[in-house]
Amino acid sequence: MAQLDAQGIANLIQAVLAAITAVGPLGADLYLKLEQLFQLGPDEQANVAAAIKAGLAADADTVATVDAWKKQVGL
Amino acid sequence: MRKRALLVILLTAFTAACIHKTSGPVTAWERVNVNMAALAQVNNDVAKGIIAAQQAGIITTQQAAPILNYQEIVAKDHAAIENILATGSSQATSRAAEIQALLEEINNQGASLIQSGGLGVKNPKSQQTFTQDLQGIVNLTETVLADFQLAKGN
Repeated sequence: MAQLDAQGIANLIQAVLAAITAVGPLGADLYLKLEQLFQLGPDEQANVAAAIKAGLAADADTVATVDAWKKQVGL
Repeated sequence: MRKRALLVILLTAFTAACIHKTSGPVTAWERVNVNMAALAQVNNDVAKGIIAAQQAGIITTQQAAPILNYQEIVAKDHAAIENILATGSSQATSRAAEIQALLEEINNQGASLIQSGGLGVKNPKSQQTFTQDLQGIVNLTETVLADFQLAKGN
């Protein structure tokens, strides 16, 4: 039984790894971020504040990433 | 890259439907803000994907530039909206026209970029991929616009 459970876990890990490989590290990262974002607590104000903070952080990262790329390629 | 684009589209659909709250219903104001955050995350992910594709030699710098310029506009417009939303629902409602104009700019410029074929990608598969990526952002913008209309009505 223990061996079967271990096999089941191994199969599950294999399936998860295959899914992550299929979508790539960026896809897996995005999935985890969105999943976290969509799980709301009971307090509306806290939920909204967390969403705004996450949105602004992503925006700042996008602008910095694109600006760094432009400098790198000489645009 | 293509699989990632498909994931973005799936996640766009997921975004519209799958916000969960531990107690009570998800309010319209929460939906606006969570979908806004999702828009920023997807935009960030697509920008990094485009840069990775350029660095891997899948697309040229000239092909990547207009897409990334658009994504920078999305990020800046989005940040402007977030700063309005951070002032609270009453204040945001009083500045609804401004928010709507910024969302429509994101939407319209994305749609124009898709329609122009200005992506300049010769590989048909890649062209489809970038179009799908951008369509995911445009779809999310439309979701947020609809959410905002509902929140205004409450």
